[in-house]
Amino acid sequence: MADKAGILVLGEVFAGIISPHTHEMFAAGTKLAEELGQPLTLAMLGTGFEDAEPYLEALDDSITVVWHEVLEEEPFFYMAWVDVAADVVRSGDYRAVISPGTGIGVDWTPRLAARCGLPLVSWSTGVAVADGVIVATRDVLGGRAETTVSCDADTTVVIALEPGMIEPINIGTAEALTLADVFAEFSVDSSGTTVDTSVNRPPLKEAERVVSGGRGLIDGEGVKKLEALADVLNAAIGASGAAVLQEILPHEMQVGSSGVVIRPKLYLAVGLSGSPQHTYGMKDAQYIVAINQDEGAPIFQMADFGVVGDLHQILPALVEELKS
Amino acid sequence: MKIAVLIKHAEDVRGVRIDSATGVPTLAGKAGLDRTDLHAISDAVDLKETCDGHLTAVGIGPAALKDDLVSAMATGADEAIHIVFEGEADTRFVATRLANALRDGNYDVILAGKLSEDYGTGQVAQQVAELIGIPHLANVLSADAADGTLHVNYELDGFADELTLATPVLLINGSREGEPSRHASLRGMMTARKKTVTQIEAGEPDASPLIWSAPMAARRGGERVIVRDEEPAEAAKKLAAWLREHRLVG
Repeated sequence: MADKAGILVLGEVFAGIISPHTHEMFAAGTKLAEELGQPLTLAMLGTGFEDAEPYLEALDDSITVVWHEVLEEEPFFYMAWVDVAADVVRSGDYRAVISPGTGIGVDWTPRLAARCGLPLVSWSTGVAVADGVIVATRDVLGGRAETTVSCDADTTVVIALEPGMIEPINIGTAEALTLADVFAEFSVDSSGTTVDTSVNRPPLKEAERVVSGGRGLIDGEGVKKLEALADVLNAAIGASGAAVLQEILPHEMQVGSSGVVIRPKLYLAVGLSGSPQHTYGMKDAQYIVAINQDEGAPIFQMADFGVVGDLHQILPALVEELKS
Repeated sequence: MKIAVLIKHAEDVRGVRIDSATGVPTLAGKAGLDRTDLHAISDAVDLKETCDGHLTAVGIGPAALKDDLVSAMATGADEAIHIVFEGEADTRFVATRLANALRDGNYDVILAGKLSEDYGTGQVAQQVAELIGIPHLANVLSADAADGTLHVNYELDGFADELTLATPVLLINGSREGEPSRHASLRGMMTARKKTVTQIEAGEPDASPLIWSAPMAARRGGERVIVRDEEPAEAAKKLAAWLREHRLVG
């Protein structure tokens, strides 16, 4: 068997726009290629290449770039991606294939691996090389524990990344789109949220205590209850991505891979489920408290103290208790 | 209409205990159907009843999986297929064996859960569809076939949409809040005992090129306290006391 060599990144270009996740895949692929001392191939799959191509002219010559058009068809949009990606994967004898774990990637990456008969590590949160072996990390047991998956050097392995877990890097002159860019694109206006920013609270990044709200706050009434708790604890206010997207709390308060990463002494999570993208930003807090109606919410699995119940009733009662 | 639902014997992650000194998780040994599969079974029974179909629950796993299959039948499945396999295998093996068992059944619709909570790779359903050679649709909220045609409600980019689909097709459910509408009933358990569980030997897997390390806690916490079923005032009192005890109040 010929030696496997090289890393293949399967990038996404949607109507000329390089997906933010592609920058994360490129970062992972670059790291593996450098640590293994092997060549990197960047396959750009999608549509609208004339808009994306100029950015890649600045890429290092050692990186091979190939472009393959994907013509999606309803209703199974991912099928064309499987077809094109399988051709690209079979065109080489790669050591590893980095594949997207984004919305549509979740549909086509497992099928790609099955079609090519390759093992797949899904929802990978990081990649590294140890003793010449590719090692991917991933969360297991509902996010409560982590495991590493080592990949035999004689087999091509497909690694699908969990979005938002790897620091993105520029691809040539193309910078990764940020959530702020996406908000601007969709004109999400954080100024409509009712949180009172005139109050002198500790800055989120330095605060010893942070109370963070999620979608469960529902509206301005919930925000007021969260603010009252922040005031009595002298805490900063944080937000989950869902609370920001629903314009309950402003983007500046977002904690997680698309916001800030913090390590407060106390992190009190209210009405947020604890998606991996959020917990990435707060998992190293010294103490974690969760209040949520849904006992199955993953946040409870990392909480030191959890209350299953209605935050709209518990927050006011807690404020009273802490005042007394 | 011939319908199948894929189920997994999964660890109950709520029973996981983390050793605070070493970060080593211990499983409670309480494994069974997880939430995503309970929803898949419930949806499959709903679909079956709209079209007077026949529903088979299919899974691969250890002897204890049989209880899960019986539970699926008690919820409304008509029969079950148990691909008997003890030990560890990668998803290629699991998907291949499931696909082999399903292929000759000529099912019109196969339903599956989104992601198991224990080791959730989120790959098997898509791979089963690929290996059988049928399309799949993810994020499905409900399905019916009252007029003999499959209509599906699903979520696309956060919005609900409807589709009429040709069969065969595999449907993967979406995120669900709350409990499934159908449960295994006592009466269902009585009749389930009379239904057939067909056993197939899975055979031995090839050595997997992937080696998984033993899980370690990403976060090494101390003893965890969960307060449930308390009046809000009482729960608040306990939380305030805990915050004071740990000197977390400013």
